[in-house]
Amino acid sequence: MKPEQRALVAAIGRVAADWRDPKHVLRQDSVARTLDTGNRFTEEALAFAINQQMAQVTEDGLMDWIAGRHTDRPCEVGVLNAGNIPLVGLQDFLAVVLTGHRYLGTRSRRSPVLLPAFVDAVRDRAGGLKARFAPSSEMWEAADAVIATGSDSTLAWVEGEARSRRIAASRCLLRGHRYGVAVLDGHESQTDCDNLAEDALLHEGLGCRSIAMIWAPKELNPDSYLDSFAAFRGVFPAHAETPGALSMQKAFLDALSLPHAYGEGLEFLLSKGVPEPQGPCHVRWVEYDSLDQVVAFLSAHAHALQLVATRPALLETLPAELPLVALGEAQRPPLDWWPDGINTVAFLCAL
Amino acid sequence: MTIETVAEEFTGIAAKDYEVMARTVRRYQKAHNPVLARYPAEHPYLPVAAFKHAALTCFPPEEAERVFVSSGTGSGLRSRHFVRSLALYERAVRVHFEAVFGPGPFTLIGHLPHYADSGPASSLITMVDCLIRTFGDAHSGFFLDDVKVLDRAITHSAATDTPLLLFGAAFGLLTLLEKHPWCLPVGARIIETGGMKTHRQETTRESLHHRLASGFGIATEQVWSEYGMCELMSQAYAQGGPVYMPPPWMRVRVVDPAQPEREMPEGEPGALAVFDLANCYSAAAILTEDLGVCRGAGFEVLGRLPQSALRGCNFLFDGV
Repeated sequence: MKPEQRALVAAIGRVAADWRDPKHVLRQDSVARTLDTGNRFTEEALAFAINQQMAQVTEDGLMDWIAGRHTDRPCEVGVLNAGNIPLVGLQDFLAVVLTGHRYLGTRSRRSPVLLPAFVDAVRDRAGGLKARFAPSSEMWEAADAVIATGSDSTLAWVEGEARSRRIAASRCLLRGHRYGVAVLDGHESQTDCDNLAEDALLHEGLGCRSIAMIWAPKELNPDSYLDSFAAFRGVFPAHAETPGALSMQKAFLDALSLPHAYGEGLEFLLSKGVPEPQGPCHVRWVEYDSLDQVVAFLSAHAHALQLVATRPALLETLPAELPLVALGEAQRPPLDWWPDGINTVAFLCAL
Repeated sequence: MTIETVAEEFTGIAAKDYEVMARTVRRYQKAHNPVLARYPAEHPYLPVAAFKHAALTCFPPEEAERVFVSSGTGSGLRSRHFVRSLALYERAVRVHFEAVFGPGPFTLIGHLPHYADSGPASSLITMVDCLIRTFGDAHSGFFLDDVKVLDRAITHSAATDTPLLLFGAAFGLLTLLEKHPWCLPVGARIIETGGMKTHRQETTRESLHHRLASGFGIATEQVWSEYGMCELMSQAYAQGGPVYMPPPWMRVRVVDPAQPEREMPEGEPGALAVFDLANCYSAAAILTEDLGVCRGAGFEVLGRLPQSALRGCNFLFDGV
């Protein structure tokens, strides 16, 4: 590892250590300002996300992840930040600067404070940090490579912009819309049920790692899972806007007499039906006759899946090529996870 | 005002009468459409997916003169729109077309592969067929593989100065260009009817229109667009730019997809919500799954709004 890379790792590790303390002034200030912004973050989910991510951003963790990988051709990497869940762009920032590139991120309107505050803190510790935030127009003017997430049409626009600015397709890391799926077999323990609730509801169902669809054996009674959902809401209350956002969907299901269940105060919604992801905090319950049927669906939709979560014992029965995780891991991605199955560090080192 | 009056007079509507007609339709549908009867009034729009799950009618579905069926989706469920009166549908099609394009005649050609398989169940085929019958000359018609139909139409249009209108699904028109480039006559227009997601790759609307203009030998301004769906009896047209203008009897709003009672400020993306008086016997207030932006009296379509998009992994929603 180069000395400057090691110094940066140390600086980032120290900042993360500061942020692990809930009473850290900068963290508290950033959280307060973030909660005042128009987003669907709750105080509890924010604390969870910061704690979970900062716990991994240690010197050892960073060194294991980066493993000395570094570019010899540093360039300006533009990152279009989505800001749909807290600190969603942290991994991209870390990967860009630790591989030796210059980070040029757009500031998410929904979460404009957290990541920039963390970056500022790193800059205070590591002189000469090559990272800044700018409007997207400025980003496009300066970027030599781009990282973005979006729908097919959004990514088509990004591709068009990149082409018009002579940024080769190989220098664009584009991540599509994805969602998480859980597969149950009815033998889930209480812990598994509780983990499923966290996987589905933590960030109000937002983010590509949230479980949006549950495959369950036909006739499996969902009551114990719903009980866990309700209990989870006791610890992680829904955002104030969630019941309003679910209200129309519940009315839709009521009007069409489609089977569904919901939490007290409409803090979540679960509907039985065809395997189509619904809106945030609205989980689709899909019944299956055999696991073969589930595997067929998962294989056919692999391009749209960020992860497939099951109880640990069931993991071995599903094809290994699927993005399998144990229940309870969806909202706890490791530092070195590959969004959309793409290795961000490898992409950056190949620029 | 009665629902029959709305059905008879909506195409001649004056702006001041819109709210009266809309109120009549709302009241009537609440009383006669069993699904809407159960749907709370505080939700101004019914998600368009409802057409996949129920016959949304204010009359016995078996009395429908036509059932429009959408093309398939991943789940295999298709929307079904039970049309009480085909004459009403065709009147909406004709009146707005004439207001936008003029009285004709036109050499009107339809190139709609895939949709053709659906025949009368395709609202798009039904619409273009109606336009050909009403505004088309003898050289008008549909074609799929027989490109001589288009060749002859081009020759005829150039010789007689009859404006050529080529209606086509985006992916089909691009496939047509792979055979060879064309040179449409002066005054010709392409009206692409959506379907920008080709079997090869997604493309932006702007890029699509450039490719069509270049391939068919016309200016980009001569590439127009039609916005329609089987769940709506009316259509909107974009006349050489990105902004669609609806007919006076159809109002399009851009709303927060999760809480459609909230309208988005002009220029901010959201879900397109439509109130179509021509849907007076089915469901008039529809929340579409299209992402759009309000542009003055019109709207721009940015793409599809799949439920996964609501999960927020999209910087576009941030307006960066």
